Amino acid sequence: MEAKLKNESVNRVILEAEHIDFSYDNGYKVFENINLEADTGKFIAIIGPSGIGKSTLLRILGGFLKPDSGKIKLMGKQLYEPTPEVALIHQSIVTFPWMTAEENVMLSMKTKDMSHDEMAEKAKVSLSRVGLEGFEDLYPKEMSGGMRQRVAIARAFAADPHVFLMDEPFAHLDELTAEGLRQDIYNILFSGETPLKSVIMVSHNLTEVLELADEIYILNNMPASIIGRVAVTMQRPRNPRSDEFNSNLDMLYGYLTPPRNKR
Amino acid sequence: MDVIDPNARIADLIGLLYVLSNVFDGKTDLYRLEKEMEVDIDDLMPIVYTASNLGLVNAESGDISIAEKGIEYIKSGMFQRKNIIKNSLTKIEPFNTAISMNSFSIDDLLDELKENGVQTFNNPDGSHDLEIILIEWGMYSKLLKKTDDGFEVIS
Repeated sequence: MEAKLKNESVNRVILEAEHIDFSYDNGYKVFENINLEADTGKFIAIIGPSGIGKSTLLRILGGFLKPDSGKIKLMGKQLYEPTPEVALIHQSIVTFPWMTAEENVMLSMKTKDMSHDEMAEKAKVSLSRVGLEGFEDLYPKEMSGGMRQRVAIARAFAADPHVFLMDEPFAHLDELTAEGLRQDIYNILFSGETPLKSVIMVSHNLTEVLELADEIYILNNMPASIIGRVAVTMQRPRNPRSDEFNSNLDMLYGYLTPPRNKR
Repeated sequence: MDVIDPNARIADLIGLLYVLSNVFDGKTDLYRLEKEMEVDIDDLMPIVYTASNLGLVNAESGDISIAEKGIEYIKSGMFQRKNIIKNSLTKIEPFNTAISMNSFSIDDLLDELKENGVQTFNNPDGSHDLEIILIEWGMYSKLLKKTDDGFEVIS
């Protein structure tokens, strides 16, 4: 299914950033000339040192922050504000404690012209997609952190977005849970059963980035700019203990520690 | 101008130098260090950049090695360690600017750093980050002491 999705529209750009500059209100320039493309069927990761502005860039890509100059385009059309076609998944797991898993997922459909039964049915399908079939009536306090993050992903799926923006989605999970979820996530995202076309994730965990990404953008310097764009060609599933994996890790750290005369 | 990373701490520096020296015989790849210390880049890189800026390690192209000054630090007692850090801090920000002001409030130092083109603290958390760095590095090394309305360089 994944291969079919990729073959149908190879290299079609879904979300792109063109010459993005951005400054805080106090004049501090965060980004300079950021260019980024997310193609159909691609899992894109953005990495960089702490405080470089990775989450801020994600918010710009989603239309939640307006750049000083440059354009964000969604399927060729300029994006001026947030849209249901681009879903943002936060690092803190956002589920509402007084709602069941199903009700949490239904939230993302409230603005659509759908009956309660239609929303409930779609929520069930969405929960099933992320492996939570049979857990629809559980409240967040009855779920593990991994299950709650799956609910958050199911809720994002239910809005039928074309792009997922994931901000450190595994940061608040213990390593075992995160590893299990990572193993599932790529296939869930690109199952081909939803309109989802591309994913952009920011992360400070290079192992997780190399497990998931097709392409990695490296942010560095001040103001931040893209200093590297790397295609990850390792076969899936990827083994973090393999020599090839370690060689890729080594290469990414190379980007983060440029020679002193280039810093 | 090199700057102390706002997330770098003395304890992390000591841990980095010990692991580099004792586990890796002074030199390794950063990804191996990450795995040994069980950290991610948000934890590792602030102290790597800072140790590099202080001249205690050499970090380049994904490799890291302990520098002569780093070896001296590991072998020294508490008093000498503080002296090594104190002497190294004078060459990097925000301490270079702080020394030129001698006595200052956080806000005055922030303005002066901005004037000197140091942008690291020009953000919503900048004032808090700067104060933590002055206390963590400046007071530890006995380069600075606290006053009623700010800090003063110890002569």
